[in-house]
Amino acid sequence: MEPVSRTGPWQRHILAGVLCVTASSLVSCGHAEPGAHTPVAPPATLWKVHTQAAQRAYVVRDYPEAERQYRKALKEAERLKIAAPTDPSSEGVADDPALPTSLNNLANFYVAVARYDEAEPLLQRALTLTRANLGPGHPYVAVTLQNLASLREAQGEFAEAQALLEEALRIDEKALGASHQKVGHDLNRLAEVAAAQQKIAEAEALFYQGLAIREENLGPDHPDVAVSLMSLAQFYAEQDQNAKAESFYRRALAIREKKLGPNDPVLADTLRYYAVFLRKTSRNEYARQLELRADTIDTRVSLDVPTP
Amino acid sequence: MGARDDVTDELRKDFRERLELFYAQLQLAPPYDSVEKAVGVLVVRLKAMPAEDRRALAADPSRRWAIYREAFIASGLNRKHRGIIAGLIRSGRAAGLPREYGAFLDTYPAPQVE
Repeated sequence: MEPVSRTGPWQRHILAGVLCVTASSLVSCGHAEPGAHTPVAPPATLWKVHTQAAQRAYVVRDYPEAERQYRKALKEAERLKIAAPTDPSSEGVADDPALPTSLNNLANFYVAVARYDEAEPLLQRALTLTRANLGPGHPYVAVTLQNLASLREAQGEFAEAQALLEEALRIDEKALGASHQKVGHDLNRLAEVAAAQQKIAEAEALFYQGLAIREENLGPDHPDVAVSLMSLAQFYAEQDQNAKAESFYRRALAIREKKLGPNDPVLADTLRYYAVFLRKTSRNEYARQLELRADTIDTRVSLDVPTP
Repeated sequence: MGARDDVTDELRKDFRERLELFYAQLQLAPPYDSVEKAVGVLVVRLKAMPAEDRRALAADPSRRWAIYREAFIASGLNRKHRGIIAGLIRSGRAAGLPREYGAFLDTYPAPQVE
């Protein structure tokens, strides 16, 4: 549930979840960071064709078609009996992980359209599969746990989501090291779930831990650092700690203006979030200017207009 | 019969558009099967009403929203994306919706307190 990759603090997380094509992008579904241990991408197959068709259908909001294509991809993965890698000691993988990827993709799609009962068994199967094939301590297992946590969050079951995210964090800390950037991501996710439960002190500490790890790994101006900054901005805005919120919004916006293209939808999101905060603090004219900028970006993106 | 169907059709269309706007504004994929269920619930309730009541309801925005809310809840739409939407409400991102959408928004739970 990180603002960088979402249209909103939660929803683009889910959207990202259904935009997975390869096993490596499955990790994106679980908000892994670049450099995290990821299985290799499966070769071009009919499976990939269906998965990409599902993505395209989802983007144009043809949800029934997206579901059909994800199901076909899953069926193809089953037919090929492609399973997750069998060598838990390997950072890469020897085999094609299409089946767990398809299970996660279809599940994430069901979460996105709020068909939770159908998502659950798919994620449980993916979890069983990855645990069996990779070992319970593999980061790929953590990704699936995070997808399951997203399901629980969507259902409003924050305590269960937190337990799953804590398990994912433990796996990543042990497998990747406590200062790995994926751990920074995990901490931010955990913080947001804590914040949703009004565990304010716990959430605040987790946000800062995540930010520190990201800054240490990536430098102060990396877009992933902006994710943590946006989380903190929203967190403080919700606590009415407006000076702190303002400071984090500005830092996040500055990074995204500098590092992302001028037509990046994430920049538009940032502008909108900041605008909400500005309106809350009675700066309506500035808010309106930012909203207009965001609208312009979204229009350009939707029309695929090149940047002037 | 034609006039009666027109009112039902108008409300059905209006409700569907309201729901589309609701999820679009929140930038969420609509739970499309539950949306269809909600529209179905609305139509059943409208058809159970005398034609005169239906026309009166169509002309009264507050009554319209009341029955939309009933269909929203009865179809289970208020249980879909509830964790997400509660978060959006908390963060202020739902504030851009027109005021009448409070009929939907206030069906979502307040944050859990430790």
